[in-house]
Amino acid sequence: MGNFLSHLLQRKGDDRVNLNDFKKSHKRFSQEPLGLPFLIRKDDRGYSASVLNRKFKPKDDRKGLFHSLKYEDDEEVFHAFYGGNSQEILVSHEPSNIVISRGDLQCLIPGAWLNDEVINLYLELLKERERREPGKFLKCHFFNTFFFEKLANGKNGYNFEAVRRWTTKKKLGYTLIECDKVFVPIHKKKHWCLAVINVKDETFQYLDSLGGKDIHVLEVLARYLMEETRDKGDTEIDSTSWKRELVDELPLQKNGSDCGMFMIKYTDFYSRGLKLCFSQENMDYFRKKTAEEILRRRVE
Amino acid sequence: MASTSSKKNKKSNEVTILCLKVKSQDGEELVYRAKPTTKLSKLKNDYCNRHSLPINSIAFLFDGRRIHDEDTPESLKMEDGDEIDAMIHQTGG
Repeated sequence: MGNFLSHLLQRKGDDRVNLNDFKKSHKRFSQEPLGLPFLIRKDDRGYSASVLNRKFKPKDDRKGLFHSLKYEDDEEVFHAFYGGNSQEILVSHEPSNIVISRGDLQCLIPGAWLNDEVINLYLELLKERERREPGKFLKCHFFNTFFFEKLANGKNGYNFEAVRRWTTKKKLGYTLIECDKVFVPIHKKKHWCLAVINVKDETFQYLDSLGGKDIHVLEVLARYLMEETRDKGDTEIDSTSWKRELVDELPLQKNGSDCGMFMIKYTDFYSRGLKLCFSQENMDYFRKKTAEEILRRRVE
Repeated sequence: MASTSSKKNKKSNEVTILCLKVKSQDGEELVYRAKPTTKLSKLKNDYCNRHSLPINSIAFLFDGRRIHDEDTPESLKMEDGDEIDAMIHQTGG
């Protein structure tokens, strides 16, 4: 800590560098005990988002993506994480029947692994956001975390019948092929990844925040899409000619806990039609922001 | 509510009894007979007891959608032979 202070003093002239160093030291400092980022939150709150994110050179449409939480919201998230017993129900989302207890929400504390409840509710909220403002976001479908499990992880490695009824037009109000993008969370034992059916660009994409590559997932989805379009009476898609892209230029996690957060942020940014202009450094902020959005049942 | 094939509730009364399959992730099926007004949380409780699972470690899905504890076959417009997916909650880092 002494070194750190002298380091800061040396660089007194340049606020921005100071701030980045300060943030970095916070991170190092806060790796071990889970709650610590909140003990230092008052310092954290003092800096405006525009300064913190100068290096991202945000365009106009990216404003707000990295806005700091308001004081009250920050307090509310803190209370939600630590303010009572873990069984207490904090959020009931009626359209999806997903219920979030304090114990569930605590997976958003820095260092914890994301659970499917929080991910699935977030994905529901992304869909609601798009319905609210269709002009602002791409037309997307967000499968829940169980979809690929049912489709591909059964006895035979592929089971269309198990998910055939998940996507009727009556249920969704649209068919998959009418979407720009279809997001498919992939759960690899202890690790979250993402597959995207990019209908508009006729591409299947695979994103792994640890840099892993799994073409098999994309082949399963290619087969699924053909069968799905045939079953739902759309013009049958011949996805054999579609591109397969194992995305390798993407922000990567630098720890053993943020894959879920990366996965939902890939989804968030792609559904805005944005490039993935974030990094590991943003994850603690995204965790807090996501907790606030879950508590509000609204994603902006 | 009865389970597997051991009990036979087939009285020729007017009350319809539905057969509902609860399917685990590895494809194992358990068949329940339920009235249209039976709360599906009863099936979930029984399913978890049989598999010695904590009740909140499992999500029951019908056609991909979460089943609420208060839901009944009637409220979800379930038909005879319909399947419920019993999914184990996942985490990852």
